[in-house]
Amino acid sequence: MAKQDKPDRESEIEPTAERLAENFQAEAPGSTVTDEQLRADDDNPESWLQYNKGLKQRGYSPAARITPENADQLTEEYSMELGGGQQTPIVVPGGEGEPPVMYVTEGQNLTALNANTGDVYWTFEYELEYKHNVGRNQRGASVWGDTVIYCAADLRLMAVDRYTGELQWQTHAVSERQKEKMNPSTHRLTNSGAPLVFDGVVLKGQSGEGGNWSAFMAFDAETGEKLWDYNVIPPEFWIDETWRFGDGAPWTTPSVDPETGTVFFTTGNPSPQVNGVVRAGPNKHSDSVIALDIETGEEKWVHQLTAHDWWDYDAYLSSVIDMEIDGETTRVIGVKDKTGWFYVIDAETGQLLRRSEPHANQGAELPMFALPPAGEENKKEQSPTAMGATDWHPSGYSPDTGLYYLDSNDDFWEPWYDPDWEFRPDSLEHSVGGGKPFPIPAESGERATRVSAIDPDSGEIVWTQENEAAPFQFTGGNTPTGGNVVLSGTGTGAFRVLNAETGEIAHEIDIGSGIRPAPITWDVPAENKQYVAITSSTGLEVYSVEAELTEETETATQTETATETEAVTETATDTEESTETSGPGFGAAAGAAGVAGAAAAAKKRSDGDDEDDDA
Amino acid sequence: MVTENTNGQISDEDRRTFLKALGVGGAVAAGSASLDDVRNAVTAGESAQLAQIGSDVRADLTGSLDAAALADGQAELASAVSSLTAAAEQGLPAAEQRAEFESLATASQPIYDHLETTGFFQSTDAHLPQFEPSYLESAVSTFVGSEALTEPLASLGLTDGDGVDLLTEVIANAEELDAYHWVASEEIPRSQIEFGEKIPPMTKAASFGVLAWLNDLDEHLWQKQVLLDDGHYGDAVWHARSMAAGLQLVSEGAKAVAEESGRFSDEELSALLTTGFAVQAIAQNMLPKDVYWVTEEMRAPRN
Repeated sequence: MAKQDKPDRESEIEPTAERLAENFQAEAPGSTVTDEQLRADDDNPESWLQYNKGLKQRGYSPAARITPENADQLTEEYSMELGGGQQTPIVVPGGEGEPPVMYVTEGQNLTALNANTGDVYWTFEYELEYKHNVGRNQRGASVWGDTVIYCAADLRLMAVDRYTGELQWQTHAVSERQKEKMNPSTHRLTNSGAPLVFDGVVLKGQSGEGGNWSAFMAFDAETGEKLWDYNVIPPEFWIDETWRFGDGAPWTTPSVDPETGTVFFTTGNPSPQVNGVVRAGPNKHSDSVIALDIETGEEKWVHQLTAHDWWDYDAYLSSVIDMEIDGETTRVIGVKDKTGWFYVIDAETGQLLRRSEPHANQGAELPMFALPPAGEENKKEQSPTAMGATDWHPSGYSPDTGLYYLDSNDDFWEPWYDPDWEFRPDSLEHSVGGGKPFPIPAESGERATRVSAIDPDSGEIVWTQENEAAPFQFTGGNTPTGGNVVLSGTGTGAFRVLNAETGEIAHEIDIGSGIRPAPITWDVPAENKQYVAITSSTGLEVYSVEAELTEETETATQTETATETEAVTETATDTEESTETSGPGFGAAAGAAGVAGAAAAAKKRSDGDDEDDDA
Repeated sequence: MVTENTNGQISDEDRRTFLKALGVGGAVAAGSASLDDVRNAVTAGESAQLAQIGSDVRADLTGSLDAAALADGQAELASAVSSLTAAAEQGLPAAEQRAEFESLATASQPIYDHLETTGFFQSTDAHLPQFEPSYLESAVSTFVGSEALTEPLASLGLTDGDGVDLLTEVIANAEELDAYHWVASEEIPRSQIEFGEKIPPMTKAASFGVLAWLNDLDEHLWQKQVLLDDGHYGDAVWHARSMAAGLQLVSEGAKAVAEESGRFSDEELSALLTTGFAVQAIAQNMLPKDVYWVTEEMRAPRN
């Protein structure tokens, strides 16, 4: 492989006019998205500006028109073919007289469309610079200023004009150490996660699985210039040069505490995944939650969830939550990982405050945390698997119910480690170090998938709602809302509206293909409608309910906002703005609304629609 | 008292297995076995393999090791173990993170650094074989048969009973050590591995792992205290002392080579080094099982 010789910031980029020509229908409407609007996104029912919504990534929308009582009125607005099945769209509210605009990734491409009608404005197509080891679908984008920012599988972080679809800047998102020492190249690194933008800074990790080491980085959202980088694997804690294949990829979207200027992100397994023989020690900072100062990139704390991991037990998602701990409102980080527990960590200190009951099966023929047998001939059933007791699918915390809603899987595998492990540069297998056969028809237990509602304080599973557990089908993501519902997808293609307090199915729609990401939702006050967008393995489905906001739901939303405001006085202005139903500052007309074009044409299926667990 | 192995790490059944492996099952009572008891009962056969290993290591390293530096390091390590024992009386950390395990790591560092810079790990890695159970039984049998070899354990404050438990842990986990934690250097297909030259000698990995875990333990105990109780803390202390004891034994072997005094035979030298590395490797792999990978059954009760 050729040594990586790309410049850090690739400002001399190929003109995009040609790329866009065939795909351009019309300019997308809208105006500049400000840092204040991004701060308010957590509590704004009309927006969904970042991957799991808001800087805090709680996966919760205060949109309250859809309730258990009217969920059966969900009406299809439009659908479109969309490859990949792993992406979460974002929605930028329109100004007065303008429709909201949706941005959605497909493979390595980005499409802008009228969120309410599905009319496509443009598609930006990106061709990978290299494809070896990087067949990953991109799971989302973020928006800042006049650009949409997302990353391709070859780690090209890009800002695209959100009105015209023209490329504004492109940066090769690797750390200085990676550029210097990653020999033969950075090609073992890839990307799947969406970036997060806070106060003009793009925060971004990488996906691994190729047997390298990974980094987390910050970029200037205006220019794409790298501000700092943080290499996840600290060489001083790894013997000799073994840090070079330490992995520890921060492959999911981070979360931010805007009051302290802290970014939180999780990391994945050490490498080789099921073979700890050649990596003595805890293997910092794999399978960890990491807190960094956004201004400087300096480490505040690291909390490792699974030290010296032999099972590929990645940590997944972090959410910034305010909850009562021992009588005091405490800012915590809620985290889910593959082990089957939900963790509550003090946002300031990194100390574990709570760990839930297991929400999925743990242990089988081999107990949980038993080392994988040596050699394939000795493999035995174990649980959870490397796919995880829960998957990367976005989950949500509702400040209304105080519950965290996630996908749970009772699964079994037969791991084994290879005593003759070889590190091979030409195969992804080099980072496994054994075998991860999955799924298996287990004698140890029945396969099952479900939604679990967890009380983070007590750790109790308050309710569960079972899903059909077809082979390789998992529970999809979950989005709680201000209407006391959880919008939920299943691997067998059912979109469900669950009662957030009881888990009862208020309504169900057969989408027809499996759902992995969480549905998103946005409110359009001018239409008295709340929309829901569901990404399935074959397309995007958008539904809505038209309903007046009841006094009860309006009060619920205002109460929630007020509580947040009291707890976080510094953002009082932002939070108050977020309650305005006309939308905070999206009013300036900038381009014709309601354009153009039929819904997206059939699109080629994106590359690498993987069934893998991570990255 | 959390500084002794009181948490059921070693059962009487394990001790019986240990005594049986050494051929003294009928002669020593498992529940109260001491190193003296075992030593008096054991009859270690001569091992040409052990003798050859000792001879090869001695030939490699004579003249390169510094006995005084190693003795200073051992004294520092013994002092740190004593401090750990005292600090451990406080039990789990509460409001503030403490640093008793990190202090032990700091005290261990000079020994590790000296062994690293003198090629000690490369030599021992080149000559020590795969740690198969039969080899370990032979080495431990020779080790326990010599009072001089077990003496360094007393310098760390380990009782005779602790010494038996330490060795029992090696024999009880010999199969696991063989399968998971010790691949002889010659078995690693380095030429076929892109980063083959970056995979360290296994002997070095054993000692580095000790430092890595000790450097991590204080933070782990403080961060995870909601899951942990005094039992976990006792296990942490036991495994930390075991890891330190393993390093102390290895450094005793290195010191003997440096002294060129002939106080240990070649067979005894390799028994000492093998036991020391095995103790380090086993302890650092028992530590996560007992203190880090806290299952639902193991965790402290919720408030």
